[in-house]
Amino acid sequence: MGVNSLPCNDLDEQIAQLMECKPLSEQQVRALCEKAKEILMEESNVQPVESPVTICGDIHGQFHDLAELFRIGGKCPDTNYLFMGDYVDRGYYSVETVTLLVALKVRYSQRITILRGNHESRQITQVYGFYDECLRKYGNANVWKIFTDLFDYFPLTALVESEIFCLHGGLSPSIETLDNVRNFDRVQEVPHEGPMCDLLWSDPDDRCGWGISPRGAGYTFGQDISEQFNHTNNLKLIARAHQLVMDGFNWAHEQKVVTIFSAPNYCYRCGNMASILEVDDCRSHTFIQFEPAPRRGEPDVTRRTPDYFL
Amino acid sequence: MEVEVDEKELKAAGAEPLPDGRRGLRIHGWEIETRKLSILTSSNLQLWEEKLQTSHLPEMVFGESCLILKHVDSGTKIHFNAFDALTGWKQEALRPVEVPAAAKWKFRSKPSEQVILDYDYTFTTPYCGSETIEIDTEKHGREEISQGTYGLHWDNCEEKIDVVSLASKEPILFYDEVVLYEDELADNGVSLLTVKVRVMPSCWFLLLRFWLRVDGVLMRLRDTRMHCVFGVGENPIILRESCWREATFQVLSSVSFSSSCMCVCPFACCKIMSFFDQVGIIILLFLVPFFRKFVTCARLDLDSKRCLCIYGFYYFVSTKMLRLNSSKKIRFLVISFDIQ
Amino acid sequence: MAMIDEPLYPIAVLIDELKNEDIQLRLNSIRRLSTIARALGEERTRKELIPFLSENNDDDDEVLLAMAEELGVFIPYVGGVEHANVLLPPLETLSTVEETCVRDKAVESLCRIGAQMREQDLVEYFIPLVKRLAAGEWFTARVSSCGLFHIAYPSAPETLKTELRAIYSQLCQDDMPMVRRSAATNLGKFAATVEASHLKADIMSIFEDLTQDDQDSVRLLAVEGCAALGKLLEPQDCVSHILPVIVNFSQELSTDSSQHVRSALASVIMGMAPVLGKDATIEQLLPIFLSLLKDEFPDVRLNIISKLDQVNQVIGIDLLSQSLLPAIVELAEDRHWRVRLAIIEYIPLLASQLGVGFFDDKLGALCMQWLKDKVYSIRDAAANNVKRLAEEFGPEWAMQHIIPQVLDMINNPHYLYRMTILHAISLLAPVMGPEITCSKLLPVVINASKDRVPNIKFNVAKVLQSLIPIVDQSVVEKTIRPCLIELSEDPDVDVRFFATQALQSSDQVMMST
Repeated sequence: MGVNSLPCNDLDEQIAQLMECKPLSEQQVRALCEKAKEILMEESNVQPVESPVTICGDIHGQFHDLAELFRIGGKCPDTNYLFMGDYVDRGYYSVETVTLLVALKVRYSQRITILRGNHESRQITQVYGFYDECLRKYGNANVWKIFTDLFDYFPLTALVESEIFCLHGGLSPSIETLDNVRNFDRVQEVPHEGPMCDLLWSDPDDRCGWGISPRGAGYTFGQDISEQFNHTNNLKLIARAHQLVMDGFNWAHEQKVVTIFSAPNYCYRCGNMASILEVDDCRSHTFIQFEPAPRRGEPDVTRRTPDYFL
Repeated sequence: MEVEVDEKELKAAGAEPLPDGRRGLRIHGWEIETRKLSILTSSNLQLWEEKLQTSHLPEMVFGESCLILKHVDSGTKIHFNAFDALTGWKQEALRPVEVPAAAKWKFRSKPSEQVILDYDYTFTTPYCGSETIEIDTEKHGREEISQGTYGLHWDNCEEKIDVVSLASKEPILFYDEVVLYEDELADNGVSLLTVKVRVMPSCWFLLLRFWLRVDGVLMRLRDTRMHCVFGVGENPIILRESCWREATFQVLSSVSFSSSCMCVCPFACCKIMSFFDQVGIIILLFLVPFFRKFVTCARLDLDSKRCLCIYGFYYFVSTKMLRLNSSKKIRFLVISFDIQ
Repeated sequence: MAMIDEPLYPIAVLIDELKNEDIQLRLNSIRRLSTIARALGEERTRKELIPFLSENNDDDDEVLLAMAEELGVFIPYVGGVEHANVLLPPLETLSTVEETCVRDKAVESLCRIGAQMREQDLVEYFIPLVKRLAAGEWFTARVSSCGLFHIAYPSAPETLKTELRAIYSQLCQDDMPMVRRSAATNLGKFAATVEASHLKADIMSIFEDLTQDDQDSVRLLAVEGCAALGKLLEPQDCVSHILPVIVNFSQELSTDSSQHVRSALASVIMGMAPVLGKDATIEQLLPIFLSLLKDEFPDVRLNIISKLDQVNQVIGIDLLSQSLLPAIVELAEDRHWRVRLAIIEYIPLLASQLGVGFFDDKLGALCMQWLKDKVYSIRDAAANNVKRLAEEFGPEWAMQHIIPQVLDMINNPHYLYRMTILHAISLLAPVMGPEITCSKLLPVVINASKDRVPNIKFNVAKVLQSLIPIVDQSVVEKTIRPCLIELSEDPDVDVRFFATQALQSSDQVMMST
C-alpha cells in the first residue's frame, strides 16, 4: 500500500535530483507516472483534504519560483500543500516542475494534493510550450504523452475541511451541488464545453448571473451565483486560480471567492507578486506574498539584443 | 548588463545618452526615451476601467511603459502608451470573433438570465501613436497643447519609407522594445501590442505592432511604421506607414500552411513572441500581398471602412493628411501615407 | 629515407592538421604543440614553429585560446629564459583579437613569461610590446596592455618608468569605456609595483579621475580597487588621500542612481575600516554605512550586514552596537526575507562579542520573534540561531534564557510554528546535554506525539530518532521506544514510516552497544 512499488530511497533520490532542477530519465518518468496513476485514480472528483494545508495557484513552469515557494511555505512533507493546477506551459521549466510535483505526490500522497488546471491538457500543451519543451529535453514526445495521459487522472476539485472549495477555474451552470461534481467520469481530455470544462475555465465577474464570454465559449459567474453555491453546499469560500493578479491574490464577490496566483513576475516581465494561502489547524487563513527568486547565472531574459527590424 | 553601446559611436554621431539613469538618448534635436515598468496595480486597474468605461482590460497592461520621441525645437512629442491604445480599442469596438469551441456551445442548454458579454476581447486597436505639442515658454514654463490623439495632421504623399537604407547595417545607437499590453485570450491565443525603436546615426525608425492570434480562427496584424531621417533641410519629415492584414486559419491552411509545423519549433528564448507567432506573422506579411490581386466581395463581419475582403484575407486601406504649424521658426512638416 | 624525413614528420602533420577543416583536429594539434616542439628541438622550435604559429593566427576562437594557453608554458621548449622573447610576437597578436577570452589568456601567458624574463630582455622586448599595445589603434590592444604594466614596470629604468606611468594615465582617460574599465581593474596590481612617492602623486590622481568617470561600470571598478590601494599606503596617507576621495565619492555615490555601484561601495567600504583605523572609521565611514544600511536596494543592505565584523574589529563592539543596533532591529523586520536572514546569521557573532548582558536586553526578544516568522527559511535560521547561541554561552545560560522561552511556544495554534520548536529542540539537545534533554526537552516532545496534526507526529518521530544517541539507553527503553511504537501504528502512512525508521535506527544503536 502506498509507496511500496517504488522504493522510498529511489524516490527520495529522484526528488533530491529534481530539487536541483535536473529532469528524470524517460524510464524514470514512466515508472513514476505509472505509480502516480494508481494513487490518483483512487481520488475523488471532489478530493477531501484536511487542514492544515497551504493552497497554491498557477506555477506555469517557473521552477525556481516554485523552489522559492517552498522556502517561504516550508518543505513538503512537513508542510501540507494543495496545488490548483497549471504546472506547465509558458515558463521554461515545465518538465522539472511537473515531475517534481508528481514525485512528491507519489512519495507523500497524504501531504500534497494536485488538481488539474486547464493547461493540463493535450491540446493546450501543444501550443503553449510543454510539448516543445519535452521534445527539446528528451528528443521525442514520449514524456509529453506520458504526462498528458496522467493529467486525465488528476482530481478536478478539492474540499478543505468541508468549507473551502478549491478548483482551477470556477463554477458551472450545470453544477449545483458537490455531488454533481462527484458524479461524472473525469478521466478524459478536458472537453471544449460542459461542466468539466467550466470547472477549469470559468471566471468570476462583476456582473451578476451567468455570462458567456464574447469568445462564444467560456462562462463568467457573478456574486449571486457564488453566494448561492456556497449556501447550497455549506461552504465558506471558493479558492481558485487561473487568472493573473498583480498582488498574488485577489478577493471577489465580497470575500466569497479568492483568486490565488503563485507565479511571480509572470513571463519574466509582469512584475507581479505571487502568493500562497496558509490554512492552519484553527481554520484561520493567512496570505503570504512573495517575489521571484533571485536567479544566478541565468541569462537575463528581459534584455533584448538590438535587431535590424524593418 | 545593458546593451553595450560604443560611446565613441554615440559621440561620433553627435548623440549623448540621457542622464539620471533614463533609457534613451539625445540626437539631432530629438530626445528619444523608453520606460518599462510592471503591470498595473489593482487600484490603477480600477481607475483605468472607470476612465475607459469598461470592466474588461487586457490581462497584462503595462500602463506606465512608453516610448517617447520628442522634437525639442518644435515641441512635438510623438509617444506610444497603453492608455491611448486602449481608448482606440474602445472606440473601434469591433464585434467579437468566435472561437472554434463556440460551435459546440451553441448546443448547450442555456441557463436563465444569461448575459452575452459583448466586447472586443481581442483588444484590437487602430492606434498608431499619440501626439502632443509641448512648448517651453519663459513666462508660463512648460505648456502642453494637446491636439488630441490624432491631433497632428498627416498629409498624403507619394514617398515611401526607404527600406533599402534601413536594411543597411548602420550601427544601432539605441534599441528597445516596449510591450504596451498583452492578453492570453483565456488560453485561446494571444493579443499583443508592442513598439520597437532603433536609432542610427542617420535616422530613427520605429514599428508599432498589434498582433492577434485566435487559435484555429484568425490572425491579425496591424503595423505602423515611422521613419525620420536626420538633417534633411530645416524641417524634419516623418514618414508614417500603416498596414493592416488579416487572414483566417481556414484559408491559410488551404494554401499549404500546415498548422502541425507550428508544434515543432525550436526553443524561443528571450523573445516576447513565440516562434509560433513569428511564423504566423511571416505568413501574413508575404502571403497576403500576393493574394491582393484577386478582388472579390466577400463575407465577414468587418466594419464599413473601405476594405477589401478576399477569400478570407482582409486589407485595410486608408490615407490621412497632416500639417503642423510650429510656433517656432522651424516649421515641422510631417507627411505620411498608408499603403496596401 | 624515412629516418631523414622523420624530424620533418611532426611539423608536416601539424601543418596539415592545423589547416584541417575539422576543428577537433586543429585543437588537438595545438594541444600537442609541446610534444612537437620537443621533437623538433629548441632551435627549430624557435626558428620554424613559433614563426609558423605567428602567421597562422586567423582561426577559430577555441583554437586561438588553446594556442594562447600553450604558449604561456613554452619557455623550456624554446631553450630557456634567454630565448623567451621569441614567444612574445604570437602572443602580442593574440592579445588584440576580438574574442575576450582569447585576449585574456594571451595576457595571462604574457605575464607568466614576462615574470620569468631577464631584466635586460624585459627592457628590450617586453616593454616595447606593452607600449605598442597601449598605442594600438584597435581598442582591444589597449585593453590588453593594461594587464601588462605590473610586469613591465619594475624592471624599467627611470625614464621608462615615467613614460609607463604617463601611458597608464592616458589609458585611464581613453575614449573607449572598455579600455578605462581594464585600466581601473588593473590599477591595484600596477600600483603595487609603483614607488611610494609616485604612488601618492600619479596613482592617486588616476584613481580620482576614475571615480568620477561617466560610466558607472568604470566607477564601480575604481571603487572596488580602492581597498587594494588602501593597503599600499601608510595609514596616515590613506587617511589623507584615499579617505577624502572615498568620502566625497561615497556621499555622491550613496545617492548614485546605480544600485550596482552603491552595492559595490557597500562591500568595499567595510574593507576600508581596518585600513583607515578607528578614528577615521568612526568619523567618516560610520555615517556612510549607516545610510547604506537603509538603502532601498536589498543587495546594498546585504553587503553592509555581511561584513560588519570587519568594522567591529576596528571600532569595538560597544560603539558598533550603539550606532548599529537601531538599524539592526529595523532590518530584523525588513520586508525582504533575505535581508532578515542575513541579520540572523550575524547574530551569533554579535552576541559572542557583545557578551551575555547585551544580548538579554536587546537581541533576545528578536531571536524569539524570528521563530514565529511567516517565512519558513527564517524560522529555520532562527532555530539554528538559538542553537548557536546556546553553544556560545553554554547550557547554564541557555537554561535561563533560551529553553523556557522556546518551550513555551510549543503550544502555538499554528502547526508550522509548533514544528519549528520541535526542530529547535532537536538542535538544542546535543548542546544542552543528556540531563536537561531528559528532564526538560524530552517530555515536551513526547507530549507533542499526541498532536492532532500528522505532520507534527512524524516530526516527533524524527526528533526522537535524533535524541536516541544523546540520552541514556534506559530512557530510550522506557520512554522513547514506547512512544515510537505507538506512532508506528498511527493511521497516517507517513507517521508510520518515520516512526518505523526511528525504531530501526534505535535497534541499530542498541546492537552496536
